[in-house]
Amino acid sequence: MTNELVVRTERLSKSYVADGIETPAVRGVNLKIRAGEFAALAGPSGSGKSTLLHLIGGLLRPTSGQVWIEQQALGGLTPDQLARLRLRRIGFVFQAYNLIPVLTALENTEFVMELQGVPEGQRRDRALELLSILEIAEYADRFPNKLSGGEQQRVAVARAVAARPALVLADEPTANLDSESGQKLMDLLRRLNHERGVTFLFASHDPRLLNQVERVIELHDGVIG
Amino acid sequence: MRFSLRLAWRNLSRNRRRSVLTLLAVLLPVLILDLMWGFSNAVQRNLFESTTQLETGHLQVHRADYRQLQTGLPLIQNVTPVLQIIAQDPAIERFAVRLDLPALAAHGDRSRGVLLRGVRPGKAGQLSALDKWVRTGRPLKAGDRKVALAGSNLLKALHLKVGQSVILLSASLRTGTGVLIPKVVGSLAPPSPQLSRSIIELPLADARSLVHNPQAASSVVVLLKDISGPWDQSRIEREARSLQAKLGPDYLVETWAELAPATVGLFKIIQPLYLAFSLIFFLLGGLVVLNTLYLSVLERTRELGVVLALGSSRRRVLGWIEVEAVLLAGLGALLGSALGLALVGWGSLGFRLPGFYAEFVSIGLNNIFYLSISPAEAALSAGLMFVLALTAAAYPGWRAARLEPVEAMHFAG
Repeated sequence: MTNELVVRTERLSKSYVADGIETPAVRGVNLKIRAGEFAALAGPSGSGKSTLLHLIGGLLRPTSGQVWIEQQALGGLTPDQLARLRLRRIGFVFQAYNLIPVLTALENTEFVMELQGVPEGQRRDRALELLSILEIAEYADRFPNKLSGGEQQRVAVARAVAARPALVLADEPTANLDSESGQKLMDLLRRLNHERGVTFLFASHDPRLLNQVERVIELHDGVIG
Repeated sequence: MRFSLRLAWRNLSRNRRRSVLTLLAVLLPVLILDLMWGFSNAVQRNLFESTTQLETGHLQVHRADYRQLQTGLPLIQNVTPVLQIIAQDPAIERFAVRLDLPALAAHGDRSRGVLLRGVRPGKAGQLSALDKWVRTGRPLKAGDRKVALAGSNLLKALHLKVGQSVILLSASLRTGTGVLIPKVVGSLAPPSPQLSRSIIELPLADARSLVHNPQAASSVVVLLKDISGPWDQSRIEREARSLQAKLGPDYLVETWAELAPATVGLFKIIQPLYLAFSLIFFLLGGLVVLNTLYLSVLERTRELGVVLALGSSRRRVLGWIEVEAVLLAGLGALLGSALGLALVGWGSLGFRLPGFYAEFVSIGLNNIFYLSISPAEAALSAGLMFVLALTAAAYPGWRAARLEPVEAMHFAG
């Protein structure tokens, strides 16, 4: 871990409005995540973990406040600029894996690199290396529906880190996994964090995950506390 | 690009039945339009050939004032100088002299007004299809005199049989009266019932004897070289002007289009009619493509949300949908074109429509159609469907590109 800030938020708030009723999800959050951190946003369902993760990932616009990824403020960016930033600097792992069903494990891993324009040979080598680290190289040619949940989530992790992002945001990555698969996944993520210096920020209420992160940021009713 | 193609191909393979149906929706309009072109060209060629070979030729030479004459026969009194000029024209393939006369035909106590057509036996078949309509008996032969062929309906009307003689009476203020009693050696069954009720074909020398002029002709019918259909009209008109200049002001050279305006009118109706009919299939094809891609986008909303969340540009997402449309439309247009050209190719050998026989024959068409399509027409039908399918893909593509990642990922669809 270095002192370099990967994420900084300042008085970050997000409210949802439905039928004229405003519901705050995140309220005035100030947060700093440094490069190489292995941290988690914790809190019960509805505490605002996922919303905060989506705000940091530039998937949602805040109602007020600001997010910086490295030195870049997200506030003034257009949707296309935000997409470019996500593509270059942020990796995502979702609870439901969200692999592209018509692509093999290897192709899914290559996907973000393909969007980045990494040459085919280079992205293939990098994807195979990652699948190997994540111990699923033998399934490289399988489509997602032929993989177990744990294997799919490892492919999703490979996809997230393959493009060498500054930050990987993982929303409940172990929620759909049995304890053995969840433990295996966390071991591998930890290894990527140690060996490759990948910064991880999780959103989870899974104690198995929270026990293994270096830092737990508690959220209650959208407020860090 | 290879990645996009692979992705698009696999996405299309997800719901094969729907993709195949969409492919058919693209393929069929192209196939139908190709067949429409083929059939429209065949009908036009058929009408053109029936008209030019049976009746008008490509060009006809008459006396300059033949349309103004109110009385008497519009005869070219001495056709020899005309024939000399025509014989030297390199653009002309064949020509024939005709002497058409109104006359009265009588047998027993029955009589009918008829059209006598005097032709040179042997040459008649080259320019007039009458010979091929001989149903019973035999065609006229070189050296024949005082024989005739008569339309089968006329034979019935006169209670006349092949082998019997018919009295022909011609009368005109200029030529006086003439009488001939030829023996009917054959019956004609031309496609036009009207012609069948009125035509009598006889040797040119006999017809000339009726007008008491051995050099007389009513027209010289000309067939030009290398004319395949009405699409060669500009060449026909050019040759008409050239021949008119050579013959001078005493003669009038007319094209088949001037002599058969009803046929030209039919041409003006046929193609737009076919095109309008095909357009319906094209629009339906476009709608099916739109529907397929729209459903496909709807089904993949979550997936597209993930792709957008991962950092794909909206243009890229639009591009993927368009690539799918290109694959569907390209493959459909290609297959439709291949199938259409193959069927037109098969139909170019000769195509008979039994069910329509009576209708076509009654308007003077040959019942055998020869389908044909030009490269430009084939390219237009495939290209039109391709462009239409791409246009139809624009809306689903736009919808996909406009998705909000988080909302799309939570789409319950």
